[in-house]
Amino acid sequence: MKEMKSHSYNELKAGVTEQELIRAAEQMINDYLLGDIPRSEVATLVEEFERLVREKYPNPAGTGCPKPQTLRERKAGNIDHIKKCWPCLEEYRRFLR
Amino acid sequence: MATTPKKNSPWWDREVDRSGRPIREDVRAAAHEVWEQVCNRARALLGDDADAAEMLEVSVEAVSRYLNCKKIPLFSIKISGLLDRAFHCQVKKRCYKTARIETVGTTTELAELEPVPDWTAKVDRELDLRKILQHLSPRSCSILWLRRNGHDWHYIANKLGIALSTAQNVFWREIKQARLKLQVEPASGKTDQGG
Repeated sequence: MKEMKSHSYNELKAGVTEQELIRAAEQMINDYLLGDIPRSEVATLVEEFERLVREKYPNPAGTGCPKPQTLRERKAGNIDHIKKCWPCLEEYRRFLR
Repeated sequence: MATTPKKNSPWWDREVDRSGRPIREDVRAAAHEVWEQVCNRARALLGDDADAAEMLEVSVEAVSRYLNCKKIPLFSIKISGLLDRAFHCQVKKRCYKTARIETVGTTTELAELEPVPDWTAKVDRELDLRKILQHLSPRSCSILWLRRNGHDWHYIANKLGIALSTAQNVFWREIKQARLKLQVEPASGKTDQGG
């Protein structure tokens, strides 16, 4: 409860909510993965996102991964998988470059 | 032949109805008899007799059709009662219709009820958020992603090896500084209960 109050206060002072920031960040990552914006524009955000995916979704067994040629298709389904699979994100990142 | 009884609205005494079928002479004659009576009825039930003429015309057509259908010879029965009854049905129908209609105000008031969403403000806000995010440090970006993944501030503080208050202060200070840098006006105070 204490944390919530403090958080709301911060949101009020900053004039922006955490949810708004998260939504915008997710949209930026989606845009980057779809090739709509260059990595340079969102470098810090993408690097931290990749670090998080690497730690949380290492997926060494490649469970549920699509074939590499399928992976390169810029589809919403692929993007959803890529965001939760480090090997695929790594592969896709090379393709984006 | 149009009739204009004194103090009452005229009604159109036509020879044929809207479908082109002839209107019976006895019904038209009865309409002249009941005109004043139906006007009074309309005033009593609707508040005014502005629509009495139109309702009588409809009633005349309906009664004429009904009598023709029943093959009743002309002037063989008294029709005023039947016409009065048909008119009463029309008045009741009008009453129900009026009761169903709920007035909500003038066009100006209607326009104010649901303002057109300002999409330009929404787009501007989105662009501002993106600019703020581009100004964040790696640590704040990391905090944001951890929050997005549902981690609480205690977990984040432990993971980063800093105090909880420090984690929050660092993150929000950067947001505020980024806003200042961009000279973005703060939002109108509408915030979600995040946390």
